[in-house]
Amino acid sequence: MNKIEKLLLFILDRAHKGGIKDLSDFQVFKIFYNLQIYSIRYTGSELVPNVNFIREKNGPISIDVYHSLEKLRANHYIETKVIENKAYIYPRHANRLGKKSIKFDFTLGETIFLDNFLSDLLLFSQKALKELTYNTEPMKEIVKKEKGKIKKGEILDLKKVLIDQDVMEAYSNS
Amino acid sequence: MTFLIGDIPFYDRYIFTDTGRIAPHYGFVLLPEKATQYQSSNLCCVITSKTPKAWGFLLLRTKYPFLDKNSYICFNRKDLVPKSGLDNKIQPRGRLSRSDLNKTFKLLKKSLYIIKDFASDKYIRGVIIYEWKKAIQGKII
Repeated sequence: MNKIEKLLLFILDRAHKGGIKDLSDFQVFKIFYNLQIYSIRYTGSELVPNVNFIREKNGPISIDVYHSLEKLRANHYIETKVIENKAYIYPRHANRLGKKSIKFDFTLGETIFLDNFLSDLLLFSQKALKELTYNTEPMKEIVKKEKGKIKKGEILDLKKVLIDQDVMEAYSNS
Repeated sequence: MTFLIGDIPFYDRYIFTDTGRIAPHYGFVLLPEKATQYQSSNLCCVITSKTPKAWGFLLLRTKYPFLDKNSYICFNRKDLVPKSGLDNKIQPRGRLSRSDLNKTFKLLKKSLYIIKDFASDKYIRGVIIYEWKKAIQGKII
């Protein structure tokens, strides 16, 4: 199992442990994206290397994450219910842990990092998650270039993420 | 009781992560418990009355009267201390003042990059800096 798949299961595991019944595809993509951003900003590198995100109507999505979700569904690690949503044109894909499970092998540092940020991100509403996502440097950069017309399919440049100043300062003083 | 950054609980069994040694000590909480809840532990710096050679932050008994004597937060050692070692009395015993929290941030940051222990892991370092900035500035970055 690759790290994207393990991270997806970890997110759903912590949602389950936190009493959250399921997560929509939108939540899964945005939480995954924001974990990558936090990792770059506070550690200087991606949590999962080489994952591309592209601009979609509602913000970044990842084909790598999409394929991993599909694989986990096919292998019964994730159960997905498609629920009609009258308030919205698209149905909600409600994801939760399936019958099969894994033992997570993230390092202690990665686990503490994930638990810290997930404890916040999992409580965010879809609206708040969208707002957080649109406030990241790669999304701001794309939106600035779009001038009102969404550039679907454009790859987000994660190199635009700024390293936190205190992290930088501590590195340069060490 | 879940702890936040700056809380000072008392452990009658404070377990040092690197050596496994156990002794009664106050701990200084470095991360909110949401980060370490699945480890059933708190990330702490030990507090001791012995004057450290370096990396110590003095806590005066006049300002922190729950302490028996003047003591030091030792930023040169960080431990993931099991909550099972907490004593049964009211916890935390105290909390670092906001002004002392601001003063210690610089020392803490430096220690994270110079002292080589499990907290110098880049992910733990990053989380500590993120959460401390939130605690000090009162905002999410």
